[in-house]
Amino acid sequence: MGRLSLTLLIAAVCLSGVTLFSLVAARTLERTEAGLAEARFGFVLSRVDSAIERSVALGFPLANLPQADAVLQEARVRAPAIRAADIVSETGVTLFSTDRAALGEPMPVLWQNAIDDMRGDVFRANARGSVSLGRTIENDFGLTRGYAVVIVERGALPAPLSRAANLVPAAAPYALAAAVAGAILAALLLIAAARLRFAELSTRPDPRRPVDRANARALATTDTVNARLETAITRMQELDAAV
Amino acid sequence: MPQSERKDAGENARADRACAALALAIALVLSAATLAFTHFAVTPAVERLDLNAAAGAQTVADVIAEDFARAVGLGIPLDAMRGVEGYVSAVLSDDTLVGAVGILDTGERLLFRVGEGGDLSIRSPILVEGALVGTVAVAPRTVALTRARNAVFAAGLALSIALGALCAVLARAALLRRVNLPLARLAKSGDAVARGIIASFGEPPRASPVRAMGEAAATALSPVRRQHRRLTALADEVRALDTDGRFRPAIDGALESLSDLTFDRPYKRHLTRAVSVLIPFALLTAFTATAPLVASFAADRVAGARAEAVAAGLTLALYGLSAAGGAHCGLLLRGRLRRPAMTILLTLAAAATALTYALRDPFVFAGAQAFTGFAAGCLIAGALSKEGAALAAPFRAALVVGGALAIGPALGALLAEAQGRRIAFATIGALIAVLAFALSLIPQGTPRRASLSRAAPRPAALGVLAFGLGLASLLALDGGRNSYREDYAGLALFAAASGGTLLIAALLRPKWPAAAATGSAVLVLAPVAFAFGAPFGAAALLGVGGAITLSARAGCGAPFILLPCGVALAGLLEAGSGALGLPPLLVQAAAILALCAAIITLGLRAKRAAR
Repeated sequence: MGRLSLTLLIAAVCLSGVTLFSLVAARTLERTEAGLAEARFGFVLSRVDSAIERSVALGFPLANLPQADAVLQEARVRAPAIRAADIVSETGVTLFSTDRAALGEPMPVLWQNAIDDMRGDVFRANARGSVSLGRTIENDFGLTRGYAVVIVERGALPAPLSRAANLVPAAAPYALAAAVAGAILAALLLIAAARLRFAELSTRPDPRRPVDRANARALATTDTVNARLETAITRMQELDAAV
Repeated sequence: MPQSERKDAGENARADRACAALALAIALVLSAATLAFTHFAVTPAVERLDLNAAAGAQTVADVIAEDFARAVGLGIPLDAMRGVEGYVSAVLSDDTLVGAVGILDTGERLLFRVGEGGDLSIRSPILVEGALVGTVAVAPRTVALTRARNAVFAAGLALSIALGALCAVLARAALLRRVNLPLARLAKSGDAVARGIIASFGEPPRASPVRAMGEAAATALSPVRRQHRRLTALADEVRALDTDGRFRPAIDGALESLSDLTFDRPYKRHLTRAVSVLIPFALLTAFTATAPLVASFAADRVAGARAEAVAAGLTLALYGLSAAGGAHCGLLLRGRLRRPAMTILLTLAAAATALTYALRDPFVFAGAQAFTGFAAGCLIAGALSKEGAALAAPFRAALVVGGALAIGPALGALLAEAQGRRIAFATIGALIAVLAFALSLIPQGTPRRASLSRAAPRPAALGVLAFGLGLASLLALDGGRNSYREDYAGLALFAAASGGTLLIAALLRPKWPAAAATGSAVLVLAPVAFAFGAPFGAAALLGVGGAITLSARAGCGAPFILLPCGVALAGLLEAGSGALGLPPLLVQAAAILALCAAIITLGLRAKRAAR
C-alpha cells in the first residue's frame, strides 16, 4: 500500500465515518420516535387492560363482560391510528373486537408466537401493514385469563430509514470536509515519516542499525567468496586444459 | 537490551508515534465533523420530536380527565376526592410519556400533584355534562429525548475514536509492510549472506523506501552468483570431457573447497502483504464486537435481578474460558491449522453468531457463545503467531489488542444502538463470514516455528489478568450495576475511550519501571472512578493501565490467553456476587486489588532474591 492509496483510504474512512454516523443518528431518532408512538398506544392498551381486569376482579367471566365493547371502542376513539382492538381468551379465541369479522376467530399465529416469546406481560407482533401490541389480562391471583390487543397502522410508526433520507444528504458537506481534512493530515504525517526515514537510510548508514551492520558483514563475505570462487575457477580452467 | 535491539526498537517507535499522532488527529477531525453535524442537523430534529412527546402526554391527560369527570359525575367533589395519589401513581407506573400529573380546580388552584419535576404544560379539561369542573395538567417526560440526544452525541464520539484507531492500525500496517518488515528481512538476508548463504534476496515492495537498498544488495550479490554459474558450467564441461574419470577426484576437490557456501537455496519468502495481518486483525475486531451485547442478551432471557446477574456472569465466564482455551490451542498449533479447517471453523463461528438473531434459549445462547469464543481464540492466536517472532514484533499484542478493543466493541454497540441487539449479532455474524471468505483467498504461508511465547513472568501475567477483569467488569457487565441497560451508545463510547487510550498508550510505548505493578495500580483506580460516576475517567484509566501492563512484555502470545481468563474471572465474580446478593463492582474491584497486591508482593520478593 503506497502513500497515495493509504491517504485515499484514510479519506474514505473519514467520509464513510460521518455518513455512518448520520445513519446511526437517523436510526436513533427513528427508534425514539417509534418508542414515543408505541408508548402512546401502550398507554391506551394499559387502560383497556386495567378496565377489563377490574371487571374480571368483580367476578364477571371474560366472555360475558358487559362493558368490553365500550372500552374497546373508547380505545379506538382515543387513538385514531388504532385499526382494531380485541379481547382474546386464554385459549386464543377472539371474544370481543371492534372488527366484527374477527369475533369467534382464533388469534393469528404471529400473536401466538409473540405470546410464547413474551417477557413480562406485554407482547408485540409485527405483521405487514400493522403492528399488534398486547397485554395479558390477569385475575387477582395473577393467573392469565386472556389478552387485550390493539392493532396499530404501520404508518403511525416511523418506517426504518425514513429519517435517513433527510439526514444522510445533510451529512454530505460534513463528510466531505472530514475526508479532505483527514487526507491532508494523513499525507502530512506519512510523508514526514517516510521522508525522514528515507533520508536517514540513504545518507547515514549507522553501524548500530541491524540492517546496516548485516549489510556490512554481507559485503565483507561477498569479497571473500568472490576470491574463493576465482581460485576454484582458475583450478577448473587448469583441469580443463589438462583434460 | 542490546544496543542493536534498542536501535531497532527506536525505528519502530518512530512509526508508532506517527500512527498515534494520526489516530488522535483523525479522531479530532471526525469529532469536530460529527459534533457540527449533531448541532446543526440532529438537534433540530430531536427538538421536533417534542411534538410527538406532547401528543402522547395529551392522550394521558385526556384519559385521566375522563376518569375524573366520571367520578365527579357520580357526585364526588373534585377537591374531596380520595385515593387520587394511588390512582395517578398507577397510571404513571404504566407510562413512559408523563413525569408528573396535577389536578387543578376551576380557579387554577393545584389540588393534587403526583410525580416530580417538569412543567405541567399539557392540559385537558374535566368536563361534566359540558361544564368545566377542573383541569388535568401533565408534565411530558423528556427522558426519551434526552436519551436520544445523549445517544447521538456518544455515538459520534465513539465512532470518531474507533475510526481514529482504525486509521492508526491501517497506517501502521502500511508502514510495517513498506518499512519495518523489509528492513527486518534485509537484515536477515545480510546475516544469511554473512553465513555463506548466497541466495537471491527477496526484494522489498515497489513503494518501499527500502527498495533501493534491497536492489543495491541484490546487485552486490549478482557478480558472485555469476562467478558461481561460470564455475558450475566449467565443472560440467570438464566432467563431460573426462570420460574415464581420471580427473574426478581433482574436480571434486576444487568444488569441495566451496562446500560451506550455499548458492541454490532460494530465499524463503514470507507473507509480506498487509492483508495477512489485517484480516486476522479484522476478525479479532469482529469477534470483540459482540462483547458489549453478550451480558445484556443473556440477562434478557431470564427474569429477576439475581437470575440476570447469574445468567450474564456465567455466559460471559463461559465465553472467556472458551476463548482462553481456543487461544491456547491456536498457539500450540502455531499456524498449522490448514486453510479448509480454518474456513470451516470460521464459518461455524459466523453461523453461531448470526443465528443468535433467532435464539430464545439462554443455554443455547451460552453454548453458541462458548463455541464462538473458542473459534475466535484459536483462529486469531493461530493466525497472528504465523508471522515469526522478529517480524511480528511491531505487531505486538498490545497494538493488536488495543486496536481491536477500540474498534470492535464500539462498532458492535453502535450497531445495537442503531438496529437493535439481534440485528447487531446477525450483522457481525455476516461480517465474520465475509472475512472468513477473504481469509480463505490469502495464500497460506509455510507454518513457522513457535513464535509467540505462551510463557509470561508472573507479575505481568497477573497484570494482564487484572486488565481483562477490569475491562469485562466495566464494559461488558456495565460496572456490575445488575441492570444491563440498553444504553449501547454509552457503552460504545466507553469501549472506544478505553480501547483508544490503550492503543495510543501502547503506540507511545510506556517504559516506566515495574510496568506490571504500575499498570495494576492504575487499573485499581478504574472501578473507583466508575463507582464515583466518572465513566470516562474509568475508561482512560483502564486504557493506560492496560497499556502499561501489556508493555511488561508478558510474552506476545500470553495476553491472548490471559485477557479472556480475566473476562471469565469477571463473569464468575458477577455470577457469584449476584447469587449471594453482594455488590458486584465492589467484589470485582476487590479482586483487582488482590491481584495488584500479589503483583507487588511478587515484585518485592524478586527484588529481595536479586539482592
